[in-house]
Amino acid sequence: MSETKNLLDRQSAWQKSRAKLTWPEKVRMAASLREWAAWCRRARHARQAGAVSDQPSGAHLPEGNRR
Amino acid sequence: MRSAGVIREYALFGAIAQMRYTEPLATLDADVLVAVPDPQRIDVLKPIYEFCTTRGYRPEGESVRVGDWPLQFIPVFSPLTQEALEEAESDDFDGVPIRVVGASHLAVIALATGRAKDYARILALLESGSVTREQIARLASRNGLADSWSRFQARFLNE
Repeated sequence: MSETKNLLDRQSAWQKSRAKLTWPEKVRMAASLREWAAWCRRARHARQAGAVSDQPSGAHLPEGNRR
Repeated sequence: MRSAGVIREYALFGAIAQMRYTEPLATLDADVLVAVPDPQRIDVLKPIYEFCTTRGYRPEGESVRVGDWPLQFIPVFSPLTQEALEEAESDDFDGVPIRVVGASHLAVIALATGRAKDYARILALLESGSVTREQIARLASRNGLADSWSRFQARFLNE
């Protein structure tokens, strides 16, 4: 039960932090989502071709979410 | 582009405009609503593509790549989108002034389009407090969408 509550608390804090973002910050986050989706597509194709793909930088993500 | 006479006016809309009010969301491109000098021509977007190409912005399918984003130029296609463009708001994007469609027009354009993701947009805008049910109702009624709004309310808002 406490684990569930912790999870919900973390989720709530994350939602509140996103709500405080400025419009340009949100657009940059959306751009990073696009970058991530494109990387996933490239990685899938690379796996199919037997090659290795670099991860995206995540530079547009909020600091706590960068890889 | 305006000063060159390629377009008369522009405003961001779609998901990028929605993000002024709501949480960030995934989107493939940035939509730009435009009014063009000659909306009757068949290749209505050709002057825009040519203008962008001469400045080094290359077309990608139906979009033009500008920095991180593929921009999709969409000519106004109804009295509602014409009004949305005329009444667009000005905002500041990292120090750059930019025109962007307001929340009530975003919601009613979404209502007119009527896909699942458009309905999600209306709900997100309502939840953000950027537009009220009454504002949507008035604008929808003025644009012949009163029935669509009633159906939306019955389906998603009336507990």
